[in-house]
Amino acid sequence: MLEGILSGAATAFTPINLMMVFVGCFAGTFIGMLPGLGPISAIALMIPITYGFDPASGMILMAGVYYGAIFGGSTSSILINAPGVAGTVATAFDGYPLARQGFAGKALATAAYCSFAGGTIAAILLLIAAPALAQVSLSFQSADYFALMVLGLTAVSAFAAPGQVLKALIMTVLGLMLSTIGTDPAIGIQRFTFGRLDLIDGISFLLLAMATFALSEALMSVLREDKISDEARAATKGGIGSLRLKASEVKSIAPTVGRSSIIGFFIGVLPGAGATIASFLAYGMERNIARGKEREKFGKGSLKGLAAPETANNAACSGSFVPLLTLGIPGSGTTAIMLGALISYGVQPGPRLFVDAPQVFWSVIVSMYIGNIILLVLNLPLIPYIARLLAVPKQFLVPLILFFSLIGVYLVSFNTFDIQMMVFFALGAIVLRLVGFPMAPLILGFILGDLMEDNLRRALSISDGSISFLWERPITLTIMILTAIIVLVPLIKAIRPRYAGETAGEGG
Amino acid sequence: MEVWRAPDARGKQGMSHAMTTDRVSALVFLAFSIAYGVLATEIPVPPFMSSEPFTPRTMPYALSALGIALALAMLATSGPPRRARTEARAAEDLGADAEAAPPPEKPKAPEMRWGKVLILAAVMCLYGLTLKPLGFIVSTSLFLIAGYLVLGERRVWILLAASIPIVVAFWALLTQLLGIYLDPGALFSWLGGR
Repeated sequence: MLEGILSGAATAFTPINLMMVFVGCFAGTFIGMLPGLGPISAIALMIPITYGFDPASGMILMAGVYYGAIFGGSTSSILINAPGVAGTVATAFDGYPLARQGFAGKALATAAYCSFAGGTIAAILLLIAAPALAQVSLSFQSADYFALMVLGLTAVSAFAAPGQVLKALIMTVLGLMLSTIGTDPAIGIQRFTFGRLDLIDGISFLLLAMATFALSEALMSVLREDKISDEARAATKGGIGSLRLKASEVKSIAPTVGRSSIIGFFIGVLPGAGATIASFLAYGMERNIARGKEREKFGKGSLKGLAAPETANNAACSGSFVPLLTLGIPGSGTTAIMLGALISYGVQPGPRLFVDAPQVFWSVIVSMYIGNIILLVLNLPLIPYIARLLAVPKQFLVPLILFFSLIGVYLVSFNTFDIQMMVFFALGAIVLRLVGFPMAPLILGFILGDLMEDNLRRALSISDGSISFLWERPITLTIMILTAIIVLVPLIKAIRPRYAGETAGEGG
Repeated sequence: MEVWRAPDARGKQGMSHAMTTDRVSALVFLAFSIAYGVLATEIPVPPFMSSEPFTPRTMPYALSALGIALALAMLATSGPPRRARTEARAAEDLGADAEAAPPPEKPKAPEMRWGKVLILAAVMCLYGLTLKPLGFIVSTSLFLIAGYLVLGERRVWILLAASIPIVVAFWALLTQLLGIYLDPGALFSWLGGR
């Protein structure tokens, strides 16, 4: 393992890769700070730039963007109560009150230190967990992979907001359906192309990701006119106050950081649950543990209430790399985008990645750590200036984001039909978002579609067309039982109150 | 107000609005899954494969069935629950005396600026159509200017300053630094360029 870390460090510490982390963190912070644009958009916008790169550099850049975007989201949560990212909604609970009381600098510094601590602890856990899991998963067969993907896809839906489970499942299936458009992977037969040459290669994942995230998020911000930039200008005008934390404050949040890192990491590892759930859980737990006066401060500017979600969301980001790097199965929309990017570099993540391309595997892990350091030493002092960018009026930001999304996809295919297709998908995504359908499961289903079909085909031919492969091996059976539990529990919960009549509103 | 208090719609807006959107979306997805399944029957399967357990149609069939099942499940669960129905009835009763009570959802509903979004969508489509004939620099500058205009910027010098320099810089970055070839466009050759 030490050898791996050293080789990863050797790759990550080359000047070009250090620059990648730096650029990634900076660009991510900026994009993540824009209300409405989350890490998925940020990463998607970066992919066209990284096409010519070495896979390790590309992944390093994207890991930096991911962290940066989460941190940027915290900044806008704290300064203007407008989380750019779902994972930082809980940050606003205590971060915004702190900023209102004139402690914006302290809140931002706490967020940065906690992100750093959470990311660091999680990166160490990742260092231990990933190789171990990669070893186990080397024995996996196609049946197990198929079962794992079913588990991953259902888990993403099951952890969706209450009342949205069915909608998330529907979006997953829609994503899988979209993935069947184009040439069939096994024997090269055209499916659902309607005779159009443009569709023979299928829909590119980048196109779908840009259209359903970057484009539709930018257009949504036009649809719902929000006066973010005025507020941002006001928030950053008078300065943000001291960035310093007192020793007693550091001491009081230290245990919170420890607990939240561990929760965050393990939640992040679970398929489907990501930074958002981790941050809410950590916040809830800290509030339950707190006693007396401490507890009353939650929601009114408690440093612990800020530390918990900030630590947990960063730890969860690291955790979500475990299934991606070891199984090749993304557990979240963000890691799904990264999987798509890796595939387009010609790298197939999974247990073999650890064996075949250890430098990619280890350099990503090492660069996560570097990313955390950069966020701390670089972004924190620069925050007052980056925050000014929030005040750039929307009439300039939106057309530029639209332009970068469109041209990013166009520069890969040089086919203008793609632009029309993006507009179509973006409008579709807006309508779906408005009626409460989540987009991340769509992307996840779309990206896993081909892999799933491939593994299903192999598993079926091995078992001579019988679906007995689903229960013949203990690993497969275990995964399928887990899937059944995950899908049935929320469904029963969703259906029961209808007949129970008096049940009070949705619980958790 | 009169329209709003029509007898059949009375007092149900709050809860049942979401319910009906859910039912409509479930129906749309049901139709989509059926159409997808029907189209899947048209996927050609080579004769040597017809006895195989897995053909190019297998996955689409499975997905279509899954989609139909999920849509039906959503249809079944999105009917107004009993609790909401009693609430709706209570609201109706209240509504009889509370003349001045404002409708619960209407005033809060955020204003949706669909016009701007649709114009932006049209501008994007036009950008796709003009990219090849006009070339990157001209079409992109026009696209950005149109975008700024739609979103309310009217000062001409700002419109120009925020588009052309950015586009030229980006073009230089792409073609000169990154070595990506961009079609100069039909306009360029028509004007006598290379």
